[in-house]
Amino acid sequence: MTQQHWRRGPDVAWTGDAERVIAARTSPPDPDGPRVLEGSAAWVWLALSEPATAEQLVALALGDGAPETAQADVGAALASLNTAGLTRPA
Amino acid sequence: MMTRRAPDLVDFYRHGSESVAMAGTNVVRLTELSTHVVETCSEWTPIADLAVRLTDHFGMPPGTDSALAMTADAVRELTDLGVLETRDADIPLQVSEARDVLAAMVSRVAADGGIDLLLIKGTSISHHGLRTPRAWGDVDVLVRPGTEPMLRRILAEVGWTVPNEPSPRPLPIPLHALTLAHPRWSTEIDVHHYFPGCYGDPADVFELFWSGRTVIDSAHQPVATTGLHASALIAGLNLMRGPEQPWTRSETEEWLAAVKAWDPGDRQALAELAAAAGATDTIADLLGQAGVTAVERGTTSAADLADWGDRVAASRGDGYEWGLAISRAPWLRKPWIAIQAVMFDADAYRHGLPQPHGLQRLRRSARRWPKAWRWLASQLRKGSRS
Repeated sequence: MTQQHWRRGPDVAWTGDAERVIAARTSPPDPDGPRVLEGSAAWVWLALSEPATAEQLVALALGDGAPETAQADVGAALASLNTAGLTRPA
Repeated sequence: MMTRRAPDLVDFYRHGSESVAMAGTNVVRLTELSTHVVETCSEWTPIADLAVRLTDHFGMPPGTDSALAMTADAVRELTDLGVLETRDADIPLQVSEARDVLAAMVSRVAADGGIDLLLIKGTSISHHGLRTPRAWGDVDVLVRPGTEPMLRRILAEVGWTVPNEPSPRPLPIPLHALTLAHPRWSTEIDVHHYFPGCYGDPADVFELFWSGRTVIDSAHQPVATTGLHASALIAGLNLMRGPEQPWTRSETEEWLAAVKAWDPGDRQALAELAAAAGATDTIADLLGQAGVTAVERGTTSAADLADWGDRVAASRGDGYEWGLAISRAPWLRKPWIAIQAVMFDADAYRHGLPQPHGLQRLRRSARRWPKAWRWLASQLRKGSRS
């Protein structure tokens, strides 16, 4: 089965770095305001400069020296980003 | 991220270890684990805390997935079903982090609503090299005159409010912008429907600025902002209007250095734009310092020059604006306004009294009373001499 690719929402405004990202949907705007992404969520957001699957992100994280919990962390971060409407299937 | 039971969860019946929930028009059968989640999350609960509670109750999850990842998956599924709702944990947001993102958001909201909007001041000025970027400040926008109520309505649908409604009474210095705030954003939006110092017809001035607009990148999104010459005009007028602000001296030096370095064509274009916008007389002194020859001087009406003088004077403190309010009020209202002048700052008058936080403001005002009484006494002495 083909793994789902994920990408950043094209209407998401964001600033930040690997430590902390501030992101907000602009169309339609999120009534809950901007989202503050820290830790693995910020890392996953930056890693999604190109569409990627969860497996690709985990491999990238492990190559980047992430601990063995990378799989769980990436899964939780992707779930959080999707729930907030910041990412979408590519 | 945090989660809680969705407010529109109509009902929730427990049957043994499982349960049935009605979310909107959906009836959802919940497993034992989901039932435990819904029961645990009657209030906002961090997902990490929820994962710990689930682990305490059910033990570690099978397989390689962590309890946190499995909890996040469960919360996502229950959110999709309308049983839970989620939001970010409350992580403090700094103004400098939020401003560019907010500029992109309001710009896109306006574009989607068919409203022409320009980002002004702030980033637009630093983008054109007229000032070094500041880490603070609101998001200032200028909209096509007449469209500001529509923008306000659209933003109200996503939680933006006007904390201080403008006073319904005529003000000595008319307001040029409406401030909008949102509880989850750390910075505000100032929606201008004209820019002080530009005394041309506001619709014509906007069209001038709009036709010369530039699109910049703000938080990875395109945002329309004023072009080079309009940005310089707006920045210059802002400096002229607040000559005693603490940052005015250094920013004036930056502005002058930038404009002096322009080629003659751009300098001439600035002077012509100022004339077309009805701002020749209000910015002439600054243009002169930059070696730019103002065109069509002396064309501003006496009433507009008086308005400009009032705005410049009012930037030095509340006293001037209160003085105007007292001098222009009918005789019967003068004492009441004088009392307000002692008790409140001018911002309260601009937005009508009492304010939502009137008591707090009153306490703050009480600290001003000795100084305010002295000021009022001086005003009355002046009045009795004239």
